[in-house]
Amino acid sequence: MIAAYLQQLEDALGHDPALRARVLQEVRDHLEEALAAEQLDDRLAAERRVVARFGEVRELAAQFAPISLARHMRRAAIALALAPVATLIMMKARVSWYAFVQWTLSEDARAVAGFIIRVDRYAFWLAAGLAIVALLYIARHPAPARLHADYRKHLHRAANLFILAAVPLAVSVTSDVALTVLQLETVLSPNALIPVASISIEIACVGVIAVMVGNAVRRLARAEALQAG
Amino acid sequence: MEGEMLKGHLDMIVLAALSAGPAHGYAVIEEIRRRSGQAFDLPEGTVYPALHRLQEAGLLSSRWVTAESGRRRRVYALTASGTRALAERRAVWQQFSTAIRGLLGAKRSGKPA
Repeated sequence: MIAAYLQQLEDALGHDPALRARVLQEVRDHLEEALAAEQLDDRLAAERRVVARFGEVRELAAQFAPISLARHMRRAAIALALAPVATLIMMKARVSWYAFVQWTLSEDARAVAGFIIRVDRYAFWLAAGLAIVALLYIARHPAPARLHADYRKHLHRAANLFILAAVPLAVSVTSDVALTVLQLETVLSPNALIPVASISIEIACVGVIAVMVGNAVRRLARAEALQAG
Repeated sequence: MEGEMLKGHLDMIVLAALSAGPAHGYAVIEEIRRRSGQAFDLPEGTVYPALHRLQEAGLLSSRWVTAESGRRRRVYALTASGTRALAERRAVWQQFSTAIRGLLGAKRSGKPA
C-alpha cells in the first residue's frame, strides 16, 4: 500500500526530479514513522490508515506545483540577471585584449563596426534592465498554497518578461559575434584564442538562458494542463 | 475543525509548531495535534508543501539528518525572518481574535427601533 502510494507520488512529481527526490524521501520517512506508531496486527489495514491520513496524491502534487514553478522561475530570473554581467565581463576582456595586442580595425570595417556597436549597446542595456525588472517581479510574488488564476497570470507575465529580456541579450551577443568576426578578419593568429573563447562563453550564456526560459515556460504549460485535467 | 479553515492559516500553524525548536515533518504534525489539543487534524501530507513553501520564502531553513533508525530525514527550523514573521502573524491574529470575540460575545445594548 505504502509502496504503491510512493510510486503514485513519484509519477505525479515526475516533472521536477529534484523536488521529487526530496519529497519522496521525506514522505517515505513520514509514512514509515506513522506505520511504526500503528498497531501492526493487520499490516495492510495499518498501511491503509497511514496512507489515508496522509492525503490524496493528486491533492499533494497540486500543492507542490506552485512551489516547483516558483523555484524554476526564480532560477531562470537569476540566470537572466547574471547573463548580462557575464557578457559585459567578456566584452571588457576582449576589448582589453585587443588593446594589449594592438589590434585595430581597417577603415572599411570601422564604419560597419560603429553601427554594430550602437546596436550592441542599446540591446545590452535593454536586456540588463528587463532582466532586473523580471527578477524583481518574481521576487515580489512568493509561491501561494495553490496554483490559482492570479498566480498563473503572474507567472505568464514573468515568462513574457523573460522572453523580452532574452531577445535583446541574444541581439547583443550576435552583435558581439559580428564585431569579433570583423576583428578576426583583420588578424588571424594564436592571439585570437582569447576573443574566440570569450565569445564562446557569451554564446553559451545565451544558450543556457534559452534552455532555462524554455523549460520554465514548458513547466508552466504542463502544470496548467495537469490542473485542468 | 474545518479543513479549509485550517488551510487558510496553515503557514502560521506550521511556524508556530516550529517555534518549539527544529523538527521533521512528522514531528511538526504531532506538535500541531498536541498543541491544538487534537483539534487540528489536517491531512498529514499538507504540511510538506507548507514546509517547502516557507523555506522558499526564507522563513525556514532545513538540513538532512540521519535518525537513530538509520532513515534520512529533513529537519526544519525557523530562520530569523521566520521568527519575525511568526511574531507579526501572532500579533495580527490576536487582534483579529479579540475583535471576533468581542463581536460574538457582545449583547445588543440599544433598544430596538
